[in-house]
Amino acid sequence: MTDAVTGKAPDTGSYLGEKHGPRAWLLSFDHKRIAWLYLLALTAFFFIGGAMAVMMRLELATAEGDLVSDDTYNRLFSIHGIIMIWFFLVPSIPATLGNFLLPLMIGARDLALPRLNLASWYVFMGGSLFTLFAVLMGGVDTGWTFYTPYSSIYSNSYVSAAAFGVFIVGFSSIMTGINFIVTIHRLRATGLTWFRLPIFVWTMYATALVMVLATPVLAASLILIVAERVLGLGVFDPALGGDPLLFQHLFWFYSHPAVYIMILPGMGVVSEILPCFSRQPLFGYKAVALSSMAIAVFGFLVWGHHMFVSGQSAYAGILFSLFSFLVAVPSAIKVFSWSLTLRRGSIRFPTPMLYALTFLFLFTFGGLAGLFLAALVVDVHLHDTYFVVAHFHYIMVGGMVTAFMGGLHFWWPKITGRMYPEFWGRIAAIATFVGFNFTFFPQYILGYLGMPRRYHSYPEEFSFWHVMSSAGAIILAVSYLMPLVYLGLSLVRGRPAPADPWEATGLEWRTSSPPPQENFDETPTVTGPAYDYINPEPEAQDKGAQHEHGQPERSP
Amino acid sequence: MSDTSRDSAFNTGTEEGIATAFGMWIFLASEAMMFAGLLLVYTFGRLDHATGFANASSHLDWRLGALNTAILICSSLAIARAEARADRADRRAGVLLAVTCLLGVLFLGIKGYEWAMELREGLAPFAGLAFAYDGPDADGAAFFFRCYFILTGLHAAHMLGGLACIGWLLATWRHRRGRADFHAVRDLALYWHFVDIVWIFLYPLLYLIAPA
Repeated sequence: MTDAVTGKAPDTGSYLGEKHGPRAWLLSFDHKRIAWLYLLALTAFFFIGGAMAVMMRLELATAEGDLVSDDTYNRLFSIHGIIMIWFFLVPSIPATLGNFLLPLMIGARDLALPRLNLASWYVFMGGSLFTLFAVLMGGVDTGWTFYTPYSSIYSNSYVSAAAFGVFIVGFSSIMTGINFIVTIHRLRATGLTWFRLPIFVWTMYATALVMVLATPVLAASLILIVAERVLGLGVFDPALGGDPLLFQHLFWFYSHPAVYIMILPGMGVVSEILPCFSRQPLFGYKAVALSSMAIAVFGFLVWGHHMFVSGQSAYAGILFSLFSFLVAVPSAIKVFSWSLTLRRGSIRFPTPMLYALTFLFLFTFGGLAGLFLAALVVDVHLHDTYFVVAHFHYIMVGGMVTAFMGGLHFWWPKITGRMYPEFWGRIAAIATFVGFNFTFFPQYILGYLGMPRRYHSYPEEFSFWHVMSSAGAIILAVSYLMPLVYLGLSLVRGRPAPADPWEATGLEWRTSSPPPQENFDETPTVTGPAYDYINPEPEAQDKGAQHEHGQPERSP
Repeated sequence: MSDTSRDSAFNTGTEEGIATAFGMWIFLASEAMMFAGLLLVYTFGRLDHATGFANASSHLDWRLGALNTAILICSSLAIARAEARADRADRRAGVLLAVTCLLGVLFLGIKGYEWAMELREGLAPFAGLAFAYDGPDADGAAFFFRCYFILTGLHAAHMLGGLACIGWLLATWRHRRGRADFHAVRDLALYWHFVDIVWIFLYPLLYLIAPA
């Protein structure tokens, strides 16, 4: 702790000032440092995947396929999907913000299994760099879904290497999941009962459950593809008595729950931000907490809605459609709860709040579009069109990436001990909202008009919407590059952050910014519910308001 | 409190031991899902090719399979006893771990012998090898043997992983003194039992299908 060299005030005695040099970072078991390792790696992957997207949108700015060849275009969207889903979205919030905040939020010194945590990063880097190598060697053209028989028999791109890399990365996801579940069960501070946990912790728990139970099935299906390509151990090739549809079942059994891995953490982040900046307790805390679990459970029962037109049984299709509508219910509960949290609140609009409201709007919009796709008959028209592309980008980018950015700004003072520039933050948040809608709203229309996915050229009549979408993509790209610059600069130039710059509740704000190596100088105890905000302008005469303020008194 | 390292989030070694055992249970749930995915492939194949599966199954030597089942159950007994001794910080647990290892190696030896036999008889329909099976529903039988090699291969890989971990445990044995130092034995025993149970499922599914 003798850190005489470091003169900077915010670093003294913090985890940042503890030890220096690459070894102290690369071999540290400290969850806060491992979160940084993940953050740097994921940022790199986000911008690599983003660059692919920009190239695709540039190609689509004109109706002819002139910038890249059709073959290159196939590789672009495949690797864009693989990187963005497995190397960014799945680990994004859990491995960075979750890694950093989970122990702080529950008053623990570290995650339960710190060595496993560091190992998970190395496994992640090993697998993802292996796949990146496959890309540099010549790429993959199967799409991120690796559908058989194209992937197992026909494709002559580097499918085996890419699939094997994703297989390895899956284990890092399982390791993180195990660690989070054990940590939440075993390391909660005295008095921190389950129904006093911040919603962020609940969503981490639900995410971890899905990671642990779904990822191994992805591992099994990817290893079967590699075995079929490399060894001829075919179980998907009809000529060998197999069934390509079997792959789709196995793949979506993981990949649909994986969609919830990619949105639940975002829901957790906005559940922290919205109460803080409307100075009100989260409306319907228990319902929001339990709906996360409901999403995790129902998420396992809807995979067949990706296969409505694949030739699965029509009766199975009806059930999968029904369950897909049902899984919308817990999501809707959350949207109503967030909206009612804002009601009569004293709302402020700093950057994290702008991102959270953007999430609320875009997630709702994307979720409603999902109901169109969950309907059997409508899906026949919309399947494999840009409508689907728009739908999942509204959830994944409009939802999860926006929540990630919101969370990053919200906890940036805690993580770095520095404030980010508020003006530039707001500009970036607004640019995200504008750029995103310009990029993806036209794609709903394109899809409805019949524009299929995965084509690098298209008939003239789609030009208007495609050009609008490409123009929006440039705004969106700039809005993501801005934080890279001003957050990076704030590391050295930012104003030192106080322990609780937002006057937020939650244990993570009770320790200094940045936290000491041991997280808390004194082990905290918890005596009340989460989100114990008091609105400075209560309207006591209103029955509804009284009801809301009655909430904190509820026993756990 | 002497065993509290700076790297641990727990106050005592006992609490940390509970957490690692819990973590192992969750890992095993995850592993179960991986085998479940592959058993789905098996189920699909068996429903689609009932004749081929039944006839192909009779080409496996059920006696060797039964012997291997018995060996694995004995190895589980050995590691269970090792766990009980380790729980009392009895260093002689190491002997039982070595016995577990030997039984595991014996299992893999017999398994390897079976694979070699099947390769020689032309029952390995992959990697361009000729498939010499001459019974009814050759496609179904080939599908059975692919499932057989995938399932037993993955199981053997899990055995190897377990053996490597027990080997590491024995290599670091002389540094282990206190009760908390032996928690790894219990976690490993859980894993070993799981791999054993997977085999208990695989044996009847692969070796004991009644001829059609």
